[in-house]
Amino acid sequence: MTEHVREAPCFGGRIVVRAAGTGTSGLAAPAALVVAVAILRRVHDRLSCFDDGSELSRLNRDDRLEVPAGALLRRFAAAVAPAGWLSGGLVDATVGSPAGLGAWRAVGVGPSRSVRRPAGVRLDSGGLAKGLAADLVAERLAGHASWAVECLGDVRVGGTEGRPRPVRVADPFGGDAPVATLPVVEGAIVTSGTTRRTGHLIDPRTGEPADTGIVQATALAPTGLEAEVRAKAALLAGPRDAARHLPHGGVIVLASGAVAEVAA
Amino acid sequence: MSDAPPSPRVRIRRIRRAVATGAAIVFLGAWAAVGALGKGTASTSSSATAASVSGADATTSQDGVDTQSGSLPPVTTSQS
Repeated sequence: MTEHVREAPCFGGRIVVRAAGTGTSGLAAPAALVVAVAILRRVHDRLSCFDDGSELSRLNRDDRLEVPAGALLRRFAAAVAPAGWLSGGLVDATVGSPAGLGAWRAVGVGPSRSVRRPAGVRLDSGGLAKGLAADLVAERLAGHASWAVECLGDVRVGGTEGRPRPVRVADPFGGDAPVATLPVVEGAIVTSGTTRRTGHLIDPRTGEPADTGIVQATALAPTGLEAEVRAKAALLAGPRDAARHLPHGGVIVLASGAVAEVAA
Repeated sequence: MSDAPPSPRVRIRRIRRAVATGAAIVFLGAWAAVGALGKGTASTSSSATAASVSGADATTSQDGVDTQSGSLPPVTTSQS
């Protein structure tokens, strides 16, 4: 069976989707991949922090405590508090409140198709949007013999054939060879790190760029959203506590270059 | 007499004919579009590399490897 591939610009990079056979939606792989790319672009268009016209940017400019929101934005907002709880507060998708205050606890979805958050607090889609995007595509590709989504660092793989797919963990220092290759039958694999974009990962405990001794953490989890949270939490937790945040397994790279695989 | 306006019955008949003609055109157009979509899909699955790349930012579509004969193609996770 042939596995088809579609690649497109999205999320400031290039996303790749793959599928073979026919899915539960009845679409053959080439058509399903067109839909998959459209989903990824829709998530980017609605949840981008860098586009003033995105629904998220409009929400962030809105002074009301509760704002009517579309389904995608509500789904993202609904993930903010669980991300905080799951990571012990290390993954904070809010901006604008003093560090360590835990404004993420008060972010959620209102009863009338709305998003609510404390006054003055903005939401940063960051990696959560990519994890969510990978999950949405995974839902659409269910039923295909094999499929994969590479949403920059956020990867989801699966397929009814149940065959393992090699997932390469890129070298954080730019080397051509991967630091690890994980055979994954089904699930999400997300990598977070500090070597590619210095200073972009803020430690919510200090409000400063993360500097914990770990330069890259890769997490496995059932969903992209959870893997995104696990990877960031492991990196921010530092070498001593990182494994605690990787219950489904993962790979850690230390500043020294040492690589440690964490078993599930 | 020939310049006299058509009777209401004739007018209704003409409107019905126009609606039927319009519906037929829409149907044939939709059928042609579905046919074209089907052809595009078929050529994608039978060609080695279906879509051409028109620029660095273009969306590309291509056939992958035959997954029956070996392991699934690898994917890569990296910092984004």
